[in-house]
Amino acid sequence: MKIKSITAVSTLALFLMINTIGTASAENRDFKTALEECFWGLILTDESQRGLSLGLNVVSGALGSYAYTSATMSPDTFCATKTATTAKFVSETYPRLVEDVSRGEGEFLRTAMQLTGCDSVAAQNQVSNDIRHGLANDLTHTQYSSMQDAEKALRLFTNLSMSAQSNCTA
Amino acid sequence: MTRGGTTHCLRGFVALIIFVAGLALPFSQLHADTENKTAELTALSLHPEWLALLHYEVSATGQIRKSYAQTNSYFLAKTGNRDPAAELKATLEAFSTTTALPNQHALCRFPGRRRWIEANSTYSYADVPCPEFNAWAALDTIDSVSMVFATGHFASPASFFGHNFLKINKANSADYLIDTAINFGALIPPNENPITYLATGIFGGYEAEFSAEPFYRFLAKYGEKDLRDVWEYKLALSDDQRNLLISHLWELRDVQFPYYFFRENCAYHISALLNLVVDQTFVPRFMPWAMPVTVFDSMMSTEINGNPLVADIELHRSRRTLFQNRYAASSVSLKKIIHQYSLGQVDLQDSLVFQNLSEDDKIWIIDTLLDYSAFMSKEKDGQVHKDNQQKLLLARLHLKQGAVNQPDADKSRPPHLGQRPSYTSIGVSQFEGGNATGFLRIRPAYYDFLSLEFGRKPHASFTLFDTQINFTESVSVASFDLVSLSNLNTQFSNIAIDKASSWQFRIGNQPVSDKCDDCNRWIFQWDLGKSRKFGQHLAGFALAGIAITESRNQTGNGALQAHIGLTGRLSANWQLYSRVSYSETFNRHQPFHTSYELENRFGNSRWWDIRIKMTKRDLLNTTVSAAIYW
Repeated sequence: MKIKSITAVSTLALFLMINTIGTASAENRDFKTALEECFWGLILTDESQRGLSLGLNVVSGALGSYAYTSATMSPDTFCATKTATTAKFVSETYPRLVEDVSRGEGEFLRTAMQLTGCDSVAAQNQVSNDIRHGLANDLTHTQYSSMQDAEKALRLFTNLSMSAQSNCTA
Repeated sequence: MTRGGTTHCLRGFVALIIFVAGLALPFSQLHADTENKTAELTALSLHPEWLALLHYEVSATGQIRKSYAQTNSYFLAKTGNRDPAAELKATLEAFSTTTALPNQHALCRFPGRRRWIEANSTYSYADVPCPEFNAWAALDTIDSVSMVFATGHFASPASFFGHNFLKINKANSADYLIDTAINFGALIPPNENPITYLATGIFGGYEAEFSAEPFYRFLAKYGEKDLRDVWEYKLALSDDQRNLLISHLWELRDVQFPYYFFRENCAYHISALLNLVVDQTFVPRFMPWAMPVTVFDSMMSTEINGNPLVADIELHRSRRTLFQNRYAASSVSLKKIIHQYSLGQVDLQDSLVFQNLSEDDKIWIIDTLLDYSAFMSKEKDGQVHKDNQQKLLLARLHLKQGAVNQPDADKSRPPHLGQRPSYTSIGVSQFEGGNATGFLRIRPAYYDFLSLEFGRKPHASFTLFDTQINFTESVSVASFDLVSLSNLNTQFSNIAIDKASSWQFRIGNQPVSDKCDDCNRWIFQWDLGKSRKFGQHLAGFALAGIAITESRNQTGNGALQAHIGLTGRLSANWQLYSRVSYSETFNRHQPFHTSYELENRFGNSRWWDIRIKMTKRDLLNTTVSAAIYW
């Protein structure tokens, strides 16, 4: 078997493999405004736009991912606000978070509380009860299962924010 | 007079000498100081940690080449990307200036360089206001740094080998979801076509950057969407080492690097960050590839500050693993309900059996089924599972709050305990009635059905460049598998997930027949089917598909084929892979044939095994081999 033959067929084969197994799903980063960037997922109705491609190691664009990893880095940046940070968390972890809400405990629920500034146990219990109540209402809504995750997350985020505003001092 | 004049003259001469000496002494001292400084700078500029700070490429023989960093602003000297001494000199000069605004000073731009220089030389600098860096790094809130491994995934070629990244851990471990993860990845343009993606990834052209993102995004992507386990290896760095590393990460904002799939990838550049604190190469120096799993292997044998580099290992379970563990830990009666539910045979609200369970058992069932529905909703019939999820959440809300603990059934083991990724064997092969033939087999990557099942998909195979060379009267390539992928998708027993498809894909070069020499042909093979678990460790499979082949000796250009087989572990030291295949070729000269394969692996070491293999198509062939993994 000749080396040239192996090389040529190898290249062709790898090409075929890529085509067969899957294409490179690059992260869609063409969000036009900082608002969209911050509320990434929550205001997008197209579920496919939310597909990250961390497996391909795509990094963040416009605002720079370094900016939103720390809420304190750029105090004047809208994306660094507590609201935006919480919104992103709810949006991206919704499947796990909603289960924690239904159980009334869990690390995702605890983190969501922390992000909203709810530190005291009493306030957390009240917020937990409020969002459980809100979730029960949503679940009895017949369209719930056909909603996109982004819409479900928005409802949960709204309930969480409103309750936190009323019950948490931070 | 004369004497006195002489005396005067001598006095004058001595005074002159003293004067000259007095002048010369500071010059000499200055010269010595300058020499010392030069020596110090030279030593500093060649220090491995300085080279690591500048991301210089150092060859396997120790030759200093140039920096991988391609962004001009990362260097303060014009020749900084290829002259570490010039960059050090320019850095020291920039650090000494007093004109820059807050955040703009070189000390703010390069806090890692500052830390390192102050720790390793006589230079020190007054504080300048760097509020942006201080807010980003928040060094006083950081407790540790981890190296994280996301197991491999068959959905995308870039994920086949897994992925690694750093995680910066806050002191409050309860907030670990919002810890910062440091990733290294290629900047892939949107809607890149696969041909360009492949060619550019392999041969170069993409640029890559380090990025910082909340850890929960990685868990959402890997654990929830891709169903990949995420292993976290916490590093035993000192405070100074940790702060140096984090300070350096700040310097890497917007700095671009070349990217190559096989070598200069996440495994290479993320592990290179550790060279700031430990003099150790975590990927093979002489190999044209860098695999994430080898980084973890190397870390486990590395010491730092007199202790193992890895202080702790933690698993962040994927949805699949969460469900698998819950199911495995369920009692027989609860398993039966889960089984019936997965098949759509029972509605919990109408089931008397379910309604009569204790509240704890109800909670256990619902929490288990929530895990099940979560990943099944991504499969076919996803809407059915979303509907079920809605009912389950509602039911869960009506039960008491809090989780129910059951015995831990998790048998996951960290990836560094898995099989070493590269395989080399020597052996003897003999056809019935023929002479014995010696052979050498080399497979650079990655695992086959008989490899240890840690840190990878079970009942799966992914091999690259698997080559067997026979030594008879001459040396010849007996077979060459460019790529071979098999995924039986068997993870559970008696659960609807077992309905997931099995598949295999292979491109290789193999002999047309057992009865000929030098008759290799290329083959492209694609099969689909089903598999099922038998007991805990065995899986049976049935696959059918097509093979497109290069025609040799009137063999035709392809065949329809079917395979049935059994694979898995019979005991701790014995694994097998068996298969019977039937091919109906597109050729009237050799219309069909049946072939058999039985391969046994003995030994459960990650470093070696013994294999006995029997195959038959035209003739029975028996092979005995001994292998090392490296």
